[in-house]
Amino acid sequence: MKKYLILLSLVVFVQLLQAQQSEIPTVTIKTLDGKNFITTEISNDGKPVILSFWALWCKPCQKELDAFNELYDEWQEETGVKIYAVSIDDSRSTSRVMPFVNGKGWDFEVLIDANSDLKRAMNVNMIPHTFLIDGNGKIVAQHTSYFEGAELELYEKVKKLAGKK
Amino acid sequence: MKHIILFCVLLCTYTNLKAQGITDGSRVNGSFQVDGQYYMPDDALGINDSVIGGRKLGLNGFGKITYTLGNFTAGLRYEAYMTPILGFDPAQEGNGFPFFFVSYNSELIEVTAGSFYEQFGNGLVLRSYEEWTLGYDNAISGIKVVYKPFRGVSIKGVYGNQRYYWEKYERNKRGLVRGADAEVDLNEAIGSLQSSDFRVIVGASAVSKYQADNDPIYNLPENVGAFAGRLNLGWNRFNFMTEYAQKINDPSVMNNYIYKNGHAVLSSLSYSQKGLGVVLQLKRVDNMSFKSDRGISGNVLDIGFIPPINRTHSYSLAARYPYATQPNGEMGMQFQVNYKIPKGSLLGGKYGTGLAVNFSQVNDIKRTALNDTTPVGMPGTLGYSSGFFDVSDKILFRDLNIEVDKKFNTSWKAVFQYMNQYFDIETLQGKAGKKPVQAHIAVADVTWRVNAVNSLRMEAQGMWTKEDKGDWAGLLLEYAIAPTWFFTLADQYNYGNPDADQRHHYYMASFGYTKQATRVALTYGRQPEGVICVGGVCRQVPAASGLTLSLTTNF
Amino acid sequence: MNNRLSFLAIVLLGLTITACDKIEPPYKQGGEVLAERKVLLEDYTGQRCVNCPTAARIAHDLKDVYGENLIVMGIHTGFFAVPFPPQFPLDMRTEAGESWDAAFKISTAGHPKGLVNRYNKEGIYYLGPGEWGTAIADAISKKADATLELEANFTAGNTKIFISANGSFLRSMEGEYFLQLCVLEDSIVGNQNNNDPTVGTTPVIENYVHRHVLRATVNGINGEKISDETVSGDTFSKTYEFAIDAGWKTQHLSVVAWVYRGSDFEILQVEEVHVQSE
Repeated sequence: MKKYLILLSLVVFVQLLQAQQSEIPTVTIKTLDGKNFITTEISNDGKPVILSFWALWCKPCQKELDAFNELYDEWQEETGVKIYAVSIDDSRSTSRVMPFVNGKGWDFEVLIDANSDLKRAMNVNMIPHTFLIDGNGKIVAQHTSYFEGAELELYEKVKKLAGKK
Repeated sequence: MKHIILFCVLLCTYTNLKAQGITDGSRVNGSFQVDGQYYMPDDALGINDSVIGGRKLGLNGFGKITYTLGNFTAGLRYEAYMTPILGFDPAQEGNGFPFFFVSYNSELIEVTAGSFYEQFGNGLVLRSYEEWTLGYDNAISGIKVVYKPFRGVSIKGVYGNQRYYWEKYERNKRGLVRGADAEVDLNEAIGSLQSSDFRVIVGASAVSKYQADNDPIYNLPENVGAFAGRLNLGWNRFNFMTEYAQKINDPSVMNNYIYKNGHAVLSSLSYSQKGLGVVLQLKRVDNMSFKSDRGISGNVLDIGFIPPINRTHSYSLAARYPYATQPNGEMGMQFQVNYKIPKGSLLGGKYGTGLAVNFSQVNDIKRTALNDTTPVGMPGTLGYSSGFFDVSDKILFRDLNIEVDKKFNTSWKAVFQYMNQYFDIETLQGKAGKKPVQAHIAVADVTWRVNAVNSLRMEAQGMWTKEDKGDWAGLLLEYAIAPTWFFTLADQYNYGNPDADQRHHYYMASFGYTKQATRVALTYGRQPEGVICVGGVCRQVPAASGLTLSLTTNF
Repeated sequence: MNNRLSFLAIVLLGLTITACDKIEPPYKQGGEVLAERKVLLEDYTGQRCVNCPTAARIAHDLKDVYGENLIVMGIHTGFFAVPFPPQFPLDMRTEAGESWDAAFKISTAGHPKGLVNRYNKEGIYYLGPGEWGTAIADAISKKADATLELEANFTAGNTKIFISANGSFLRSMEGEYFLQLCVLEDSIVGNQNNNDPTVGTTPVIENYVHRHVLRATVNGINGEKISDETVSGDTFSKTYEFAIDAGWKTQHLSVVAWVYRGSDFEILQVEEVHVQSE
């Protein structure tokens, strides 16, 4: 049984050699209100989208989102980019996400991925993990970890995407 | 030979299909992660040998691949624990493919055959999930159906057995789980409510497990059911959520074989507006350990998930005494306020200042004996009775924390935290006879942005307590060149240990490289010893010294 | 559409409603139990292990059910068995116990843990106390592959034990077989940490009676080889003279012997006998 699975994965790997651009997988998560939200609803009228995974216990994630928040007005004016912040907090903290987000004054659209379904589907292992998605829904860049100043490099890519249009 | 032929056949079929364009739009994605530890002797810590718990090397790794074509997805995951890292259960040792699935996903229906994860509501009666850093995985292997017949209505059904490390499922050994859940978003489902100010979502779940009774002592129920109902109400800036769960008789090793029903309630009320968030959470748990094998103790095979409602701390000294839910009974609350002092105000400064106050407390429940002859919790009886508001005076955990988050100028920002914790170490860590730990903890986390991409972060922590290991001091320096490099030096010094010989420095040095989704980190240092008491089993994790390598990437 | 939905709902509801067994008292089983052979339960424990008294009580409940067909051995090992004077002055650890603890990874997994007839599942030998009942019921229903008779008498003024163990193999089997002998002391009184109020006081039970404690092995940590390959009807016969420790109470000593398969340690037959005075 094991050997057949190894073979199957090898076959699939052959496909991998021809690198294809990924899209956001179709997964149902929730909004801050508790309503279902299917990832196919992520759209920004053809303009770039930033999708960032975070949690209440992840300090670097919060620093990254704070940095985005400060520059968000500027970024939106220049490129129209939209930021989705996906919280992977499970049911122990789900009800604390909305008050926290409001207390911080973040302007992004916050989504709740309480059982890490989207995190697994997008192959995220460690957070913070941020994706840059172009107007056609294709993932063009991603990075894990956050250090002060990383948002500048991300923004260069956003500008390129917006300018490309 | 047979395998090579099979491989060629598969490859040819695949290339053929691809040539016909059938595989267009297909994608392959995946990721892998490896965490390895190499143990070394350390005279000061009393480690004379580079063999800890019988092993020199700990290696936890996994690799997963997902193949998507149109509405179909298939995936598998390979895991290897050769041998598991210190702190992980030795039963995890092994390697193989514990997780594989095929699923079809459309707007109306989603069907998954194989291994999957799922959560009903808040997870009180069913939550299967994985947490790699804790070695936790209770994936259900079987079939899952999610059916969305109308707008706003979602019905789920699951059937299968849960993963228990590497042990394959055998009939009449561990149990089977089946469950159904329905959720209705009234605003979506009922057209007239769509633009209402009131947002209402209701849900109900029913889960049952089946396990054969081969026990020679007790008459055990083979089918045990648990039910839950939930309600989520939103109105303007207020949000109210509540979920109530009840489980019928489920005598198990976890509750000492009592035949009492169990119940749990989780509620929260919050208010938020831009710049201010307030939330109050309440929880009551009574005999709600729900595992698919009644004979197993430990952190495995849980069907439901009872969330701890206290803040998960990010700073190491603040997280030294973490609270773990007591499924046999607890009653707790948590209150949190997040406020952003506006920019330009006196206290707010140029950028505004973040302020967060969080308070949580968990008590044991009060249990009353059934009659004069039966002591509370006697195995083979109904156990005890406990009214809905019966709470005991025994405090298991209390945590008050205040956090101030301030940006001084473009180069300097800081986070300051003060915590006051009360931790019943006797109940929570099995340290019999020890007084509860009462500690003051303070943290200052200052970041200096040297220039656009270079930054230096300094973290100073202190813990002051008269109990357990006494006072600690911690210092961390992290230099980062965004977004790629980081170097860290840290030390935790147990200067207040009542035993002068045990006043060790637990130092650590690490550096790492991050590029896109790939991260590699190498650490050299010491880990203090600890006792892990989870699910009725206590094990001692010895102190260790050595190298740790961590690698993660995706594609 | 509506019909489909109702049908699905009924099916799902049916699945779960049929699944609820409410048990009425009596909760404990009475009556006869089947036993084809004797089974050994090793209870790895420690005087400072708070979860262990509950496990010891489970072992005794099982002994009540199976009587002399279940042989229980308490083995004190690891971190939680280390003496801690003045409250825990006793040292009930043994060289054999620590060696078996390391071999079967008991301490790494956490106390309390037990072994039933040293049977393993994919390399894991230990079982939590909740699994002992079903494992013993399973093992005790299997026919024995060997017989074992044991006799133990004091000699030399109650300072030595003379042991004779003999038996036979009931079928032909491959592999090496060993005979292991141990000396146990029952009813050692001391303190025991505890977190279960239905067993005794918490956090410490004073004057707790430690039952069937392993004191030493007679013929080494791995026993003595008695066969290279068996043929049905083969017999073995061994005698030993063992000097006891002066601190042990002679009226509480017993000898436990078992025959096991060398390749995977699985026990074929086990016997216990109280040491007879001169």
